[in-house]
Amino acid sequence: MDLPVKPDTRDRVVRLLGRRIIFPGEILMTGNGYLQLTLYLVVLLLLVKPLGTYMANVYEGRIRLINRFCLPFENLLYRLCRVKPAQEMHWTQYAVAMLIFNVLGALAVYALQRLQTYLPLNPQAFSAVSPDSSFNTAVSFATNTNWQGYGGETTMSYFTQMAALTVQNFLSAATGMAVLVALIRGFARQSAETIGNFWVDLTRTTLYILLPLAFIFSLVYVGQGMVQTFSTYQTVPLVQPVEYDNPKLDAAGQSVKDEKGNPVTEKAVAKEQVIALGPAASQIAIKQLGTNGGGFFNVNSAHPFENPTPLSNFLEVLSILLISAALCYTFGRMVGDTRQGWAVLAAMTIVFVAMLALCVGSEQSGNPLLAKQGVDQTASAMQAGGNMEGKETRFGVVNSALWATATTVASNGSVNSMHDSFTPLGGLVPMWDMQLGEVIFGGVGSGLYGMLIFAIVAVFVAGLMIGRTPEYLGKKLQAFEMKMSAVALLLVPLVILVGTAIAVLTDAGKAGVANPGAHGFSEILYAFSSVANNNGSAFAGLSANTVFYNTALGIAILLGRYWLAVPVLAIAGALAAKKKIPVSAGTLPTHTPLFVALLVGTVIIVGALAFFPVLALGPIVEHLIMVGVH
Amino acid sequence: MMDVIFIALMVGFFVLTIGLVYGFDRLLRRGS
Repeated sequence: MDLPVKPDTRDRVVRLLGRRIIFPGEILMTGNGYLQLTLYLVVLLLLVKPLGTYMANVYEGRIRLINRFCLPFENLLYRLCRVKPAQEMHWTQYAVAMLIFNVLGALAVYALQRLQTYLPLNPQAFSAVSPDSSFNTAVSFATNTNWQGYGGETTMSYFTQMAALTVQNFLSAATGMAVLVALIRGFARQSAETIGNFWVDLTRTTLYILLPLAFIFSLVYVGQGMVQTFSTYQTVPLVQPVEYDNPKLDAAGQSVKDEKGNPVTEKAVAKEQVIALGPAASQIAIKQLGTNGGGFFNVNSAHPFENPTPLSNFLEVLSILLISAALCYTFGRMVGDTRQGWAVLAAMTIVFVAMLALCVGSEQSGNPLLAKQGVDQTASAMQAGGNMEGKETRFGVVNSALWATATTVASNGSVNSMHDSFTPLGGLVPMWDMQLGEVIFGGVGSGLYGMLIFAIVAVFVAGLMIGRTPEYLGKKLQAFEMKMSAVALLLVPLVILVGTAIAVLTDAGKAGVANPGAHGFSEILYAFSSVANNNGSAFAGLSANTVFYNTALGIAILLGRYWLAVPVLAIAGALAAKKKIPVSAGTLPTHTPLFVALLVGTVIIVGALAFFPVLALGPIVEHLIMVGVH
Repeated sequence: MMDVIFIALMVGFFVLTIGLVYGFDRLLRRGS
């Protein structure tokens, strides 16, 4: 059937924005879409105070129920590990404990992957994971990044998924939250030599926050139809055989290519399908709550067994930001002024809503090249409308764009759609979210400590403007804190830009790119932005399971996590040792809308200045090409 | 051989980072 071609009456401004002409009566987004986005934000913000209060009480040991029933078990753990919970740590001891715990975790994950052939719960008889992939996955999961160069259901045994990956989902999240609590204590204490006990913070976070929440969410997910089984994969006949092109391989297993270098394919017919199963629900709950993001299955939460219903989709995307948002209130409670926490939360929410609007708007507007061909991309009762490439029809544009924005402002990295298929501006949003430093909600713990570093810089800049010594939460900010803040803020952009440059200059780096030109560049830039900020989401289109990418991205992951956490702990130690200054007429209030605006400006300017040139080479130029600006 | 390289890479990175901790602490104690 010939579709009616709508007249192209776009003017130059419309072309630059990349919008299609909006015809009278045309609906860009349904009321249902607006309702879902509003509901998401309302539920998220309503949960901030109760969960934030609970977490503050956990860290300050004020939960009676826990003290009565769980403390004996907690103390037993300390006795077994020879930890003295009452013994507090200097910041260097805290940092070294964190590092030693994490390297042991990484080594354990590495060993479990290499030895999985000899370990139980391997019904598919998967062989050992390759050394480079094991290294990448080990550091990725130990650092809360969960970048996955492998496909879960074709690589990892159930035992590896549970004992290596799920365990690290808990422990890496708890590590980030422990570092944050140490920084908060730095602000809250005065003239103190210590910032808490790492082992106690780690244990309480895991036992009283992450495990109970993950248990509840797992049960709900199982109720929704998420798989949780040790059964072997099921082979089922297809209702209708499917014919497809299979790449022809030579004796060495390499793809055969024709004279022009194109891969040679041969027709094949699939009559049955293997359905992958496994203990997924228990991994998915902590994957979202702990902002880990590593999928049980290769396509992550676009897989029906990993995200079966609209309710599971809502709960999963809610739990991505839940703990990070609530930690803002925890911060306010622990420093004795909840207005400070609300101010930080307000700054995060403003940037999040702006990014969400850009992403939803870009995706809902669809692709102007398809519109030119007369393809109907309008939202209606019959279809979600907009750019549906790479998206689950179950979730549509709005829920895909919401997830993409939430998963990248947080250092989560799970996906329910393929970001590679977003429009250039829609794809720019997740990339830029990460490049802002994962401080808009961010990872559990790591997002807020990153944001507090930005707050320190914002206060410093404000202090310079009015000629006063900068202070934040009653603590004078001096040369050492500013040097550490500079290290923390500059290191990640350096890793991303240098890593991307190396990849685009080397054959090994270019070999993994599936798309030429600006889009291929975006794929590499996205990968380094994702790993250096410990996000873990992939733009797809980049074959990253190679020795080059496994090693280069693994090193970027390590640098982005620990060379940021160590300066943060150093700041915590420096601040804890200082006396509190009473509020005076010269104190910059840090709970007002003015400060929120200053904080948002600092985040945006630092992100924009560091990454605008490189974004111009990728998604921005791709957008201009798409809308026909030459 | 590859196992040795990657394990050394991980351990080496963490040893280097522990060195960074004490380097920063020295900077802090110097008061700068």
